Formats: sequence, structure tokens, C-alpha cells
Amino acid sequence: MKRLLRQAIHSLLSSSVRKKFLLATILSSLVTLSMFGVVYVLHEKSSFIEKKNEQLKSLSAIVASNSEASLSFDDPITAGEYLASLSSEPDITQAILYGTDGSTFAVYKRSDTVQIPVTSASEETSSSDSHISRSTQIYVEQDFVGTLYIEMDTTSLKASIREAVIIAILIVGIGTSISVLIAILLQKLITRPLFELEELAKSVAEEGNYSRRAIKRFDDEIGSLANSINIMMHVVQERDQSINDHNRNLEKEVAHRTSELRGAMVKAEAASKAKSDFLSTMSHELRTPLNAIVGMSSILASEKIDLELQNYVKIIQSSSDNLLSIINEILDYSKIESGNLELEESRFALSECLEEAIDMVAALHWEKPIDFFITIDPLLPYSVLGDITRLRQVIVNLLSNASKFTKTGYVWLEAKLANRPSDDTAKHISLAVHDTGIGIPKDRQNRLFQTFSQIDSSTTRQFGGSGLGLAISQKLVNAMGGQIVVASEEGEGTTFSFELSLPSPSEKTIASKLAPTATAVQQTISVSVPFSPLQESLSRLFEAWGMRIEKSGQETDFSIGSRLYGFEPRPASAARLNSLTIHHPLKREAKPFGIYSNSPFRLIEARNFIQQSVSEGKRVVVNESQSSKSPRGLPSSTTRILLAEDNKVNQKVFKLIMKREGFAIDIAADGREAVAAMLKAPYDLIFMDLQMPNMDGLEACRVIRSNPDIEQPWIVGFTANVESEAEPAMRSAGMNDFISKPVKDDRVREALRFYESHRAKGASLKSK
Amino acid sequence: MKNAFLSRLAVPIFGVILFVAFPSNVRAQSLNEESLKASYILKFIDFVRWERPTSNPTKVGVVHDPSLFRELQAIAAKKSRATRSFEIVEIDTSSDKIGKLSGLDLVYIGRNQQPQWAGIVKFARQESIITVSSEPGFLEEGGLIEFITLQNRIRFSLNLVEVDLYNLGVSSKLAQLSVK
Repeated sequence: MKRLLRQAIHSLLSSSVRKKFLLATILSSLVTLSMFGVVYVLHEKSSFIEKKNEQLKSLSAIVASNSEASLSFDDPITAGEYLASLSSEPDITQAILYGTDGSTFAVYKRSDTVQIPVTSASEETSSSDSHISRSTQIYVEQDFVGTLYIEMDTTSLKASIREAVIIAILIVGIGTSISVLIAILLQKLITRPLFELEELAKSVAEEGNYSRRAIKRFDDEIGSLANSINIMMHVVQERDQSINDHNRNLEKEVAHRTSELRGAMVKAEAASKAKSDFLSTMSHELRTPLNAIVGMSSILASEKIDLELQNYVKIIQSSSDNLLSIINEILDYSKIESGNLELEESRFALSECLEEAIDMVAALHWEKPIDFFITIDPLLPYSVLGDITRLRQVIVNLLSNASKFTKTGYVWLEAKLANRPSDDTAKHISLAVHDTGIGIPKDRQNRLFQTFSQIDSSTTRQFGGSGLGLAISQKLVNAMGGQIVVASEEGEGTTFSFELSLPSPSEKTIASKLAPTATAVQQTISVSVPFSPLQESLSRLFEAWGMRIEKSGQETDFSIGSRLYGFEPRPASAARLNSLTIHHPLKREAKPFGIYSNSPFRLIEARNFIQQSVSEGKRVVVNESQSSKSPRGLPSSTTRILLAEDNKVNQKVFKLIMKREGFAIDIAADGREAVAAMLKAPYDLIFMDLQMPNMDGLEACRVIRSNPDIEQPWIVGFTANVESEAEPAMRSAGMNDFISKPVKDDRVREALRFYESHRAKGASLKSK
Repeated sequence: MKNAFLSRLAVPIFGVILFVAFPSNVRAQSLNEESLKASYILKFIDFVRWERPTSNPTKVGVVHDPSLFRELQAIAAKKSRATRSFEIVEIDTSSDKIGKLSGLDLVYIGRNQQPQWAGIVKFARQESIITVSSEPGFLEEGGLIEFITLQNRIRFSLNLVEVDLYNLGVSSKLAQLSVK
């Protein structure tokens, strides 16, 4: 019911102003006229009764007065005659004169059916539905002479009321009709200006034409509204005009500025390209002579020369390595500063990236009396999306830094889940490099990440380095969305840490990914490593695999011990299946017991240790050095190899390296010569420099790849260019592999092996 | 014979019976008539307005009708009240003592006073005295009110023609009851 009422009210309020006005007028006039009608009928009724009463009173007075003598002189005949004269009054039904003793003196009756009432001594008026009556006592000179009773018929009252009701209904009907007519006429006066305003507003809203004006018809509220709207329209029109003018100016200004900007952008792009070209050229130009130094020194080192000369060669090698590192850092920094740093987003194994980084650094410092540890939370995601090269670069940089300033103790790379809640798509990973080095004074810590900043100039002299490493690392981490922070106590050590949010494409954790087969679980293991974070990390890993950790000394299925440099040795106990000892390269025993593994101890080694032991089901003694050695895997010496290189020194260096590896090569001085050589006689393998006169390496590669007459060789690009776009450019040109300059013999060997493995696969596929 | 005798005897017996029985009835009727007339006379005063100053008590004279005089006295004694009282006097006008009427408001003239009527009427007109009589022909002689017996009821006639000569205001209500 309430909902219906509400709907009715809502629909009423939603109807047009015209309808509302008409309805209000009709309702108000109907109510007013109805009230008037009711009052009129009631007034008619009371007037009628009053009139009849007055008439009766008046008649009574006259008849009473005229009856005085008749009563006084006892003349009922005259009295009767007089009463009979009331027949002229149609409403009088009867009139009776009573004597002083109450006896009937004279009577007038309009009809015989009328009953004579008993006389009333008192003077009174009474009424009923059909009549009213009045008794009047008659006195002559204070002498009571009799009573007059007159009765009047009031049935005409009903007719009179009926008549009044009809009149009232007519008045209501006619009055309402008239008010509706007036309302229709008036509402036009009121609603017409409103409709005009509405139409104006619609037109303005649709066309946006602010030049139109409302017509003011009268000086009422609507007229005032029209005035206000006109003022508003005028203001809007002016503002519109002003905005249009401003926009026109702005457009001109924008066009002008755009033109300027475009010019500036062209210049900037040209400058950027020039810078990029400069960087590319510089890296090429700097690395090319360095290539010769590195190559020659490596050849010289392999020659049988006396000890003193060997020392000289080593100095040349380390100096050229340092120089290469400094050049790389400067180029990196330039690239970051110029905004050309572009991070890749590819899927990679986080643990492998971190372990590779610490391996690289540890290998360079194997002779130092410091331990390298890596602890990786087994619950970290196995694969993440990011730029592996840049992350590895940062970690290597921090580890190198730590190794450089640590004389004793350890360098520890720690990876764990950050204390922040991770969302569904990305994990917050905390990475830290701890060392027990010389530490950094508090007042110098804030300068650490500034360019070319080391804690003092003596540091440079003592430890070397460009001072760019930390600044580059910070920029790279910033670009990856993190921030390297440092915590250090002078003389105690330093911790560099940062957090990264890396998207994880897979749900698999490191523990689940590396977990050994099901048979490996439910085994017992004792872990005895004096470096507690590593002990804890390994224990968590084994627990995650479902193994039970037992105390050292108890009989277990597996046992892990350690022989580290800065810690007391904790030999592995004899285990049912196998034992493993993590050792510092300098602390290896002559007669090893069980398996040995160089620190830093990698997760994959832990997995292999368990997996192999379980699958073999017996003790295995593996010589780590033996296991790490791989077969030579080089192509046969009959492989036809072409070098395309314009620099004579580099030609010579490369030729020497290849000769030492047992290969005779042909040389082309530029791309064009290389293509010509290919057309002349096919080659299996081409080492091609990118920057050459006449035809550069990329172009030559494209020509070769596009020529169907040429038997397609394996092409390895040489580049001194560290730009990130170099590799995609080489791939798209059709190169199979690339080596960055300066060319070192080990990199060449690696490239040869890669070629051989590829060739062997191809041959195998062909044979199948 | 016997029947004739009885018939001749019946008449005188009936006559005796009437004689014995009637005098009291006649007396009673006569008394009732006097009383009614006396009452009417006093009521006339209620329907008449004098142009001269009226006296109080209202003075009513009775000429030659002692029984009516007594009735008047009796009724007047009952009717007298604070606002109006009556004084009833018996007047003898036989010896031309018309002046005795002076000061009266109404005079009733009894039987056999026809020779006096002219004088009384004349005086009454001068003095605005209501003149009432039960004798026939009184109105013709200038009298104002004359009692008449109609159908055994006492009625009265008003001399409406000459009422103005009395300088009196007679109520129309009274006039309505006038037989003539």
C-alpha cells in the first residue's frame, strides 16, 4: 500500500508542470467550493429553521394579541374565526386556544387527521422532524387569559435542503469548470515562459549555442530567472569566447612549441644517436687495442717462458682485465646516465643466477683465505621474470666489492623472502651481501653510491677500481624497482642489501623444483657446518624435501661436514649411503672421505648428492676436480674457418689463438671479402667482426644468409659493442653466436665447442 | 271526564311547579348575568385608552342598578392589584345631578333611565367617560357600549360611529367582538 502511494506521489511529482498546475487548481477549487457547498446547505437549513421559528413566533404573537379580547370576553366563535384565518398560512397545521383552566377554547385544524395536543402551561417552542410548535401564554393587563398553541409543518425543509444541495452541486460543478478554464488560460501564462526556458536550455545543451537569449515576458520570478539565465549565458558566452581565443592562441603556441620540440627532439635524437654511436665506436675503439693486449698476453702466457717473464705477462693480463672492467663500467654508467638502459624481462632460475654470480667471484679469489657462502631460502620461487644479466651484474659487483675489502672471514650472499607480504603475481625477494671486511665509517656511508666515490683516495690505490661499481649497481637496482642500503661497522664488516619485487610465472619453489625423487625422502641426514646461516639454510632445504635432520654423530643415511678456512673443521660422519664435505679450495684433504664440494656450496650439488646416492644405493667417492672437467669437445682440425676482421693486430691475435687450438684459418679484411670468399669456397665457420669498412659484419651476414647458392656456415659475431641492441641485431641478421671483444682464448674455445655440439646434433639428426 | 279534569288540573300544577322551581333559577341566571356584565365592564377598561389623564383607582359609576353595583364591587375587590385598582360608586342622576358623573372613567346606566341618556351621554362625551347600558336603543342615543343577549349569551355592541366623540381610543380587538 505504502509502495503504491509512494509510486503515485512519485509519478505525480514527475508529471509536467502544466499538469501539476492544473491539478493543483482543480483540487483547490474543488475543495473550496465543496466546503462552500456544505456551509451553504447547512446555512440554508439553519436559516430555514430560524425563519420558520421567527414566522411562528410572529404569528403566535399576532394571534395571541388578537385573541386577547376573545378570551377576555369569552367569545370562542370570534376566536375560532380568527384562528381560521390562519388557513392562509399553508405551513400552519393547527392552532388552539386554551382557556385559563386549560380547556380548549377555540381550535383551528388544517385537516381532521391532526391530533390536538394537551395544552402546555409554559411558554415554549418545540420541534420535531416534521413540525415545530409554539405555546404562547396570553395576558391582558397582567391577567392570564389563556394559552395559544400553534403548530407549523416543516416538511418543506427537506425540499428546501434538497434544493440547496442541488444548488451547491451546481455551484461546485460550474465553479470548478470555470476555475479549470481560468487555470488553463493562466497556466499558459506561467508555463509558456518555463517551456521557453526549457527549450532554450535543451538547445544550449545540444548545440552549445550560448548566443541565444531567454525572452523575459513579465517582471515575475520567471522573468527574473530569464534575466539570470541571460546573464549566465552572456558570461558563459564571453568565457567560451575567451577560452576559444585562448585555445586558438594555445593551439598556435602548441604548434609553435611542438615544432620547437620536434626540432629539439630531432636534435636530441641526433645527439642521442651520436652519443650511442660514440659509445659504440668508443667501446669498439677501446676494446680493439685491448683485444690485442689480452690476446697476445694470453698467448704469451701459454708459451714456455722464464718465471720473470711469466710474472710480467700476468701483470699485463691483470692490468688489461682491470682496464677492461673499468671500460665496461664507464660504458655502462654512460648508458644509464643517457637513459638508454633497457631492462629485459625474461624467465630465469633465480638460484642459478645467484650461484653463478658467487661462483664467478669465488673463482677469482680462490687463493684468498676467505670463505664464500650462499644461502637461498628454499621457499623462494624457482623461476622469476626479470633481467638476469643486470641482476647478476649487481650481485657480482657487490660480491666483488665485498671480496676486495675482506682479508679474512667470509663473504656471504643471502637470498630470502622479504618481510613484506607478496601478492599473487610478484614475490618480494630480499638479497644481501655480507662480508667481514674493513667496514665503512658512518660518515662515509652516504657517499658510497655517488659516482667515482670511494671511501678515500688511498682505497683506490690499495684496492683499485673505478669507483663506479656501486653507483652503477644502485642505478640498476633502482631501475628494477629496488634500493640498495648499506649497514656497516668499521672493522666489523658490511652488508649491502636490497629488495626486489619479481613476478613469478610458476608456483614452484626452489625446494619443490629441485626436490629429489620420492625414494630420497624419509631419509635421515646430519648437517655439520660451523657457519650457522648455511647450517640452517641446508637444514630447511632437507626438511622441505621431507628428510629428517639428526644430530651430528648419530648414524644417519647422509652426512654433511665441512672444512672451511675461517672455521674449525667438522668432518662428515660415516653415513649409510654417503657423506659430503664442503671445503675451501685451499683446505682440501689429500685423502678425501666421501664426496667433496668446493664452497660456495650450491643447491644443485645438494640435490645431486642426495639423488645420486639414493639411485646408486652405495657409497660413491667422486673427485670433484675430475667431475668438473669436461671433454675437449672441439671441432676437428679440418673444419674450414674464416675470420672477417679489418684490424691487422686482431687478425694476428685470432690467428695465433686458433693456431694454438690446432686450426688454420683464412682471413677476410671486410664483409665484402668475406662474402666473396664464401662464394669462392664454402666455410664451415665464420668469425665475423661487426664493424668493418666497405661492408660491415651484419650486412655481410645478411648477404650470405640470403644467397641460396652458398652452403650456409655457422657464423659467430665479434662485437666490442656492449649496447643491448647488439645481440638482437646479430640474431636478426642471422648470426648463430657471438663473442664480445676483447677476444680471449677461453671464449673462443667455448664458441668452438658450442659450434661442435650444434654440428654433432645436426649430424646425428641427419644420420637418423 | 276524569282525563279532562286531570288535563285541566295539570296546567295549574305545572304552573305551580314552574313557579316553585323557576324563581331560584331565574335568580341564579340573573345573578350570573350581572356577574358577567360586571366582569365585562371591568374588562372594557382594559381595551380603552383615554386621551386625558386617567385616574387611579379607576372610577366606575353605576346608575340605578344596585345588583350590578354589588357584583362590580365584588369583582373589583378581586381584580384590584398594584398597578390598577377600582372604585365602584353608585350614582343617582334622576334629579339632574349629572355633575356627579364627573371624575368617573366608566358609567353603567341601569333600567328605565332613557330620559337621562341624552344628558349623561353629552356629559360623558365631554368628560371621556365610557357609557355602558343593557337597554336597547342606547347606542342610537349616543351611548358607547350596549349589552345584548344573543343565543343566551351576553354580547355587546360598540358605537364605532360615535366613538371619536368621546375622545377615547377603543382597541380594535374590542371592536372585533362588537356584535354590530
